[in-house]
Amino acid sequence: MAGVSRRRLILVGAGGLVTMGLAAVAVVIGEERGSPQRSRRDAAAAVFANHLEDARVLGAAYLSTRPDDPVAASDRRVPPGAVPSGTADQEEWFTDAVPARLAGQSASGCRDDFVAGRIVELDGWLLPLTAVQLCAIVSGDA
Amino acid sequence: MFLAAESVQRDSVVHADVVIAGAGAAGITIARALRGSGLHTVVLEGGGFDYDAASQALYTGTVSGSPYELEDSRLRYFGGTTNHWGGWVRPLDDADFDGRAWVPGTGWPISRSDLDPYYGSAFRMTSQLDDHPFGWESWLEGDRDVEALVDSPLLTGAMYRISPVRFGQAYRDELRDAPDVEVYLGANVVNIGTDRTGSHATGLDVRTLKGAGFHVAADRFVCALGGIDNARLLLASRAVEPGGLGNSNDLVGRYFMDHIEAAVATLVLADPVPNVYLGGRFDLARAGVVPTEAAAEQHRLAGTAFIIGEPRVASRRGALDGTVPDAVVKGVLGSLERGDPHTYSLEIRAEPEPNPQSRITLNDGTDALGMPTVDVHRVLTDGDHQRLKRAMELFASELGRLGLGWMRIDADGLGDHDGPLYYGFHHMGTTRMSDDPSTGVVDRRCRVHGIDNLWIAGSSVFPSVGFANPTLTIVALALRIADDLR
Repeated sequence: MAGVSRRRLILVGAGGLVTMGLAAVAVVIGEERGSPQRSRRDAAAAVFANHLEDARVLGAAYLSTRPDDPVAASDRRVPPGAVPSGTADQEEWFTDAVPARLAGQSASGCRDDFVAGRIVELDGWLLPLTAVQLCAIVSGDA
Repeated sequence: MFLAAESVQRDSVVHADVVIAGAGAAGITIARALRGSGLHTVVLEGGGFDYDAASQALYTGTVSGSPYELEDSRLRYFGGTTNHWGGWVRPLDDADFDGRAWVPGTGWPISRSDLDPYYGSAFRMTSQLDDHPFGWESWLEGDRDVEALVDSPLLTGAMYRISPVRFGQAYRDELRDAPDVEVYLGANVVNIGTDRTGSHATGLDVRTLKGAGFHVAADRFVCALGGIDNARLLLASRAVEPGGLGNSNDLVGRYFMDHIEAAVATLVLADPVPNVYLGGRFDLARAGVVPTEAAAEQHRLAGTAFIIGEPRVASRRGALDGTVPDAVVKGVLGSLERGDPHTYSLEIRAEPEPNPQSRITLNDGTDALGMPTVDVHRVLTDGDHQRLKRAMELFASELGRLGLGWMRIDADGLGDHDGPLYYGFHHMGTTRMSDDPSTGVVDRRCRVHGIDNLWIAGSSVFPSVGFANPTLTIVALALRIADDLR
C-alpha cells in the first residue's frame, strides 16, 4: 500500500458503499492529484514539462550562488510558496498535486514572494524564491 | 522677414523693442507670439536654414564629468534642436512643480496651475495635434481602446504624445511674413552689454563667421540659446561683473541636468504588452509606466517613467551574457503562468537630483569667434543611483506581484557612474528659477535677478525636471515670457 495516499485509502475502503455520486466525488479528487509515489523532483519537473532544461539551468545557477538553500539542501523539503498555506504535510501535497495545480500554486507563491521581498537576484534577474527553489529541485539530485 | 547678418553694415547699431538671441523652440515661440503686438522684434540666429559644420563647430567644448555628447546633442541652425528632436511631448506634473521632499533641491517657485493657461497653446504649437488631456484616466475611458498593462496603487500609466514638429520649417513662413519681426541668420551673439551697474541690459554684440559684426540695442532682451549656451553667454558677458551676468551668487552654469535615460532592463511578460506602450497604431501617442505619487513617496523616488521597448527575440541560450539567459527565465515563467511569455527591453527615464557640482563652466578655449568655450561637468549623485535602483526594484516587484512578468536589471545599466547613454539630450537647470537670488538665477517670471530687462527662455530655467521631455514646458514658459514682453 506504500505510496497510496490516506485520502485514497479512505475511498478504497469505502468502495462497497460507493454510490454514483461518491464516485463522481472521487473522480474530482483524483483530478487534483498527481501520480502517487513521485519524488519531489519528478513533481517539480512535471511543472516545467517542455522547459525542463531551462529550469535546470536556472536552478543550477541559483545553487551555485546559494548551495545552502534550505529546500535544495534537504531531500524532503519543498518550496513553501509552492504549497497552500496551512498544509500539514507539504511534501505529500507537493508530490501528489497534478502539474497544473502545482504550477498554479507556485505562480501564486511567486507573486507572494514579490510582496514579501523574497526575491533572488541572479545575474541581474529579480526572481521569486519559489521559482528558483523549484528549479533548484529539478537541477539537483534529490 | 529674414536677413543675413553679413548684410548688416559693420559696427552699425540695429534698434529693436525686443531682441531674442536664439531661434530654437523658445525663441521662435516668443517671436511668433509677439507678431502684431506693435513691438519691433529682432531675432538673432547663429546658424542658417540648414546644418552647417562651421556654425555647429561653435558648440565645441570639453567634457570633464561623465561621458557626454556635447556637440551632437543640439543643433545650431534655425529651428535649433527641434531639427532632430524625437517629438515626445508631455507636461510636467503637479508633483514636479511642488517638488519631492525626499529628493533634495526639487520643486519650482511656481505651480502647475501657473503654466496650465499656456500648456494648451504650447501643445498645439509643439505637436500640431488637436489638444487632448494627458490624464491617464481619460485615455483608459471612452472608446479609445487603450488597455493598461498595469494600473495599481503603486504603478500607473503616463501618456506621451509624439509629433516631432520642426519649428524651423513649421513656422518659417509665418516669421518671414511678419512685418514686425526681423530674423537675422548667421548672427552669433557673443556678449550682453549692460549699464555701469549691471542691472540693465543695453545691447547685444553680434559676430559673423566671416568677421563682420554689429550691435543690437533694445528695451528688452531674451536669451533663448539652449540650456548650455544660455549659461555660456551669461558667463562670457563679464565687462561689469567679472563672474558673468546674473552670477553674483556663483549659480550660473550650476545644476546642469539631463534626464537619466537608458535601456537598463529586460522584461519577460506573461502576455504581450498592450499596443499603446509600443506606439503601434497609437502612432501619435505612447504610454509609459510610472510610479504613483504615493509609491514615489513611499519608495522615495524622483520623477520616473518606464518605457517599454520593442520586443526582443530570445534565443534558447545566450541571448544575454551571463548564467541566466532570458530564454531560461522565459521558459520558467511560461511554465508557471501557463502562457507564452514575451520579452522586451525596458528603458528608464528619470530626473536627476539638482546638483550644484554638475555644471557648465568656461574653459580656457575659444571658438572661431573668440568666444570662450564651455566645459560640461555632469555627475550623478549616489542618491540618483539609489533612487534608480529603488525604482527598478519597485517596478520588478509590482509586476511580479501582479503575475505580469519578471525583470532583469542589465549589468551595464545601473550602478555605473560612467554608464553609457545616461542622458536624453535635454540640457536643463543652468539658470535655475527661484524667488531667492541666492538660490536661483532667474525669478518666477524667468527674468534674471538683478537685471530688469533680461529674460531667459528655455529649459535652463528648470530648477528640477521631472521625467517628462522638456520641450512642451519650454514652449509654455516662452509663451508666458511673451505675455510679459508685450
